[in-house]
Amino acid sequence: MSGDFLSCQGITLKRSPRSVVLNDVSLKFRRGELIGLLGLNGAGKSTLLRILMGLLKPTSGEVYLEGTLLSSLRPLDVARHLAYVPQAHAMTFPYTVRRMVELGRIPHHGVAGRLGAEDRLRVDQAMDRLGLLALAERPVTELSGGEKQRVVLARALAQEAVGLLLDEPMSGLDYGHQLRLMSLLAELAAEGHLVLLTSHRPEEFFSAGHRALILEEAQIVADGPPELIVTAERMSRLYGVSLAQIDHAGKRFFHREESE
Amino acid sequence: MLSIVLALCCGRYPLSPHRVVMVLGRLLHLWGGQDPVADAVVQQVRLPRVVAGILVGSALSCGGATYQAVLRNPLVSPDLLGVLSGSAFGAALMIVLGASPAWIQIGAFAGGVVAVGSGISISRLLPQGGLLTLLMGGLVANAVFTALLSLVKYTADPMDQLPAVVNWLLGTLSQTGWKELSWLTVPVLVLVAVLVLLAPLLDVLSLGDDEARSLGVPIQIMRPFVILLATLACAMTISMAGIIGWVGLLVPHISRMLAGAEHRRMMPVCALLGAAGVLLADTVSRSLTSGEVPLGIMTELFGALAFILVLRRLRGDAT
Repeated sequence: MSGDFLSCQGITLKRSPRSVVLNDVSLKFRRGELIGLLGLNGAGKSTLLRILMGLLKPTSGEVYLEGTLLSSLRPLDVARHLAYVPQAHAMTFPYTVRRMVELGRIPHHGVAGRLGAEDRLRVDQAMDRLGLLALAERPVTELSGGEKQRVVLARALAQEAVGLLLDEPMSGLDYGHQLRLMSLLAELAAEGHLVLLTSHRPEEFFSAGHRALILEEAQIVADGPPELIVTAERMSRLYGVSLAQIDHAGKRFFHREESE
Repeated sequence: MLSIVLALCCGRYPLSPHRVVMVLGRLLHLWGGQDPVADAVVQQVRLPRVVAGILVGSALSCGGATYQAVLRNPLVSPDLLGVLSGSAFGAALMIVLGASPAWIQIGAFAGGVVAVGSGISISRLLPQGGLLTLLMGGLVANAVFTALLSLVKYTADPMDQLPAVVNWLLGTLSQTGWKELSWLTVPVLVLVAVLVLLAPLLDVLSLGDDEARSLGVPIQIMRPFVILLATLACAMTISMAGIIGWVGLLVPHISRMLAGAEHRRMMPVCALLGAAGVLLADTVSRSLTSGEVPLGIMTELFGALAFILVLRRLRGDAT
């Protein structure tokens, strides 16, 4: 397991003896990888991310962070290494955008600790990267869905964790912000971060991603470079829709076949 | 400060601020002189009520703000997990058993803690865990202790025990003297101070479970711990003054409007505002008529009206 930043071995999750969500999933992730996890609704993508974060205990199997059993680490130590953006986020109280992003510094200074100059700098940088500086003092309850999503992403960046596990980070973002976020994630991977994201838009990480995974029937059925995994044939089989692909300028686009 | 001055000056025997200052000076041995009536009114009647009002108001409002943050719902009050129904049952049981005032207070405190403890224990028996099961556990505990309270009221002697139970449930500071305050003041103040110091944690606990845990906060330990602190604070105030409604729901809202949602700024305001609010309500309740309107009725009445204004303001902000 040396050299792997994050790995899991034999992960199985059963809701009941008949309902197997994940079946013997083993994966290894390195720093600097930008990985897309594809699968149908309910395939277990979010569940797998939660297990990798240590938020959900699998029925069997183990997760390792830099070779150490994840379950043996203190929560704050895990949070300094792994940041997580969930699919849904609770924003009940009208905290300012700045305060929400500041919460990302908790793994570094504790819950009760005061923010130092370094913390404030990281918070500003994270907001800047997500284009949130102009919204810094706005209550999060007044933001649109896409703006809230950017706030949660900025909080994950402020955490300064090497691993970023993002559950459908593009959802709710307008087209421009989707493109900007994909570029940002590619930059982060180039800086040495591990970026693992789930998505329903395979084109998104075809050009920028280094690796694509397909989760189907509780198992990883494909794992490799996007150009080999994100193909019309596989996507047609996965989504049950007949697709054709167009490759242009290093990008791949899909459209439904006319005959269908 | 203004509410303290008003509370000491106003009542069926009005005192000028000058006379009150003279009494306080004599109490602190700053100067001599005599004013037996004013001394008795301030030292034996109003001052203990002021201290009790400050403790009850700050503890209920900080407890309410804590419940709202931890349960991620700005519309919950301390009653949601059963502390009020449990305390009411404990006190009513003691009254029916003919216990002394001290035992009634102990019964109220223990009832509140047992009710919330039962709710949390029931939630742990339910599958999945998390916030929803905690609320369901609280719902069950609340229903059970409300039913037990009704049972006690049904079996109470309608001539003397039932009126005593009803009076206690209406809430008042008139039963609180220096004796009760001597053992309740320090624990309540410590609990309020701890809740205020834990304010930054409330920001995190008000996020989703996965979000809080991914920031390194063990929510499965911290949430019951913070609920326990808020419950202890609320149960102590109920044992002191009976059921004082609306404070735990309304004051956190007004505090958020004044200081913002961040708990580090909002909780100290909440403690001060809760104390001032209960003091003012108590002053009005004993000055309005020749008798005394129970404090619980005043807070219910003014609380409901004020809540409409708060909701209007919140709606105005949102549009």
